[in-house]
Amino acid sequence: MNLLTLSLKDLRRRRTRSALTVAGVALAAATLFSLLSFNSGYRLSLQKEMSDSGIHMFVSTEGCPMEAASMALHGGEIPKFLPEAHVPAIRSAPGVRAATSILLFSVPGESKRVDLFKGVDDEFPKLKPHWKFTGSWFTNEQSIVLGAEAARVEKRTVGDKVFFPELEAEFTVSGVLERTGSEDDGWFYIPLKTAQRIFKKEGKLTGVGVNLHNVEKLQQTKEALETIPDAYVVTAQQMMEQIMKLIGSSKTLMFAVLGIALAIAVLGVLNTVLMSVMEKLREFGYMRCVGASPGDIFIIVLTETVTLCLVGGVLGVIVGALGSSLADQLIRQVLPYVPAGKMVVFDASMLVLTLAVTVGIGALAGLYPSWKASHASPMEAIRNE
Amino acid sequence: MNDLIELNTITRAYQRGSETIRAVNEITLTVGPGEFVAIVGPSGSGKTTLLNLIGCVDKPDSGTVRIDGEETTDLNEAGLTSIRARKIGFVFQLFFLLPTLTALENVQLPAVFQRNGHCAGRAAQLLERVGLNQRVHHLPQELSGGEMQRVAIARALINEPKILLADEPTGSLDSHHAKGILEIFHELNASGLTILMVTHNPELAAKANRTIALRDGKVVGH
Repeated sequence: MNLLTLSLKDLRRRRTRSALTVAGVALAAATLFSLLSFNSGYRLSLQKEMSDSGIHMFVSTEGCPMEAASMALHGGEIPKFLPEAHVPAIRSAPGVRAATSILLFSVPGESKRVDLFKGVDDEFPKLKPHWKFTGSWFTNEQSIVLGAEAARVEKRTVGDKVFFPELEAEFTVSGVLERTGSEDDGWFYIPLKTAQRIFKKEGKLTGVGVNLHNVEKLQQTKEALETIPDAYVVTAQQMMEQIMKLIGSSKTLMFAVLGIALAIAVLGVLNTVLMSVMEKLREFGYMRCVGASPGDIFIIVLTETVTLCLVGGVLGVIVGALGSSLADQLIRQVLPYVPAGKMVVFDASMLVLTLAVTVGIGALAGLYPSWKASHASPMEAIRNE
Repeated sequence: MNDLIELNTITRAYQRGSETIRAVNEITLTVGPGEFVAIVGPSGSGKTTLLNLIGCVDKPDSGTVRIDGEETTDLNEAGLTSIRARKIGFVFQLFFLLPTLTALENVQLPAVFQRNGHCAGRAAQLLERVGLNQRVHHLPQELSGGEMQRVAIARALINEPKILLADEPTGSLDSHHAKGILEIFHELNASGLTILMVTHNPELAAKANRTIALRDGKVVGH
């Protein structure tokens, strides 16, 4: 037997109270673990989305980089268009491996659905070397390639006809993408010229997606592209930074909630342990009589407190891990921009950090009760008999 | 042979409102090794205060206390704790057993504070010595009052003290169990342990080798 076993045995004495304290800490720990997982997962997910887009930089007309980012990744419409005449100059800029003309449109479909159309040229597949699809790329002007999700919703496969009443246009499915887990899955890809004709934007583009030979020479290419009149160049990195800035305030709010949860956990633990110490002051006094030093009593109480918090931390991590998909869904509801794929991703460092914080809560909350217990008077314990 | 306990004109006073109560008033006495002393007196006579001073849980306002040759009056808290742990065993009227520990673990408790928690064998021997070899793994709530006090006696002995201080050890027991406790005290005393026992019970006091009577903080009879 030692001081640790003494502490652990004492925890069993007030099981309900201990369990409630553990539950409070577990809740705070689960929140912390989920937010840490989200913080890391969001960036990873965004990076993956950027990487999957195959676009190292996006050339559009002058505007805010956020619009450009949104257009490049999710689609969107702004009233400005880049003249298609700039495309040769973009393709001939130093370091450009591929440059694809893109015209994006979203069209209200059936039952509140919005169909996303991406008019692209034959350079587009070069930006997506990881793409796998059944069938082939466009075979004529009325060809359409369906993203995996779009194909599922439309219930179409290669060779099928698909008619869009809102466009009054019929296409033949030339290819269906295998699921990528990215935004690519939701698009209808149609030939650029067809898109320009349908949407009456002949000679106009939403922008040009640029893929580079060497990403390290990105700045050089960017400067060259910026000499093109009215061209606005935004790099993938800038898009990402803009998006991270955009969600910054949401993150601040979430971490503020976390701070409150942690503060409540500290006060809850402090309250529970202090109450327990006050009830047992006489016991501690007796312990002093039979040879316990103030340090021994301090260690016993602090160990109890830290153990409570550690158990709460472990439970919190388990709850946080099991509930990650729920957290993912909740976060999607409140953020202004969400990348495709899983946003809540956890690893060992988050586990360690969460447990370290909960142990810290225990140590902090346990300091005063431990000090109080260690000053229990042996004489008072006897006198009160 | 040197005395084990030496009290030299010790005084301990308390303030009760505007009144100063001299719970122990200039007491001088000695207790030799192997003595069995009963401290008797009416309530408020200073018995427990005297025991506290001898047990190093309190310090006198004046005078000196020597335990086994060590002057304790000027010791700090750590020094007093050390003496309590090494030289003195306590038995209380209300037993003070930790409810979450078995009889065996309760006996081990003072050794744990001496970082000697691997003493289960010795703890079991002590429980056998007080007649509780069948109750080793029972929790206090599963024991009778007499059995709990036996556990408390075994616990007091785990660090092999030279002095056993007992404050009303039979105060919560019926006469049958009280008799059993007294028998154990006699056996321990016969093996050389020095025992000081505070009691209200004149029959119990009569069984001791020596009786010290207190009244109003002073020794009124040996």
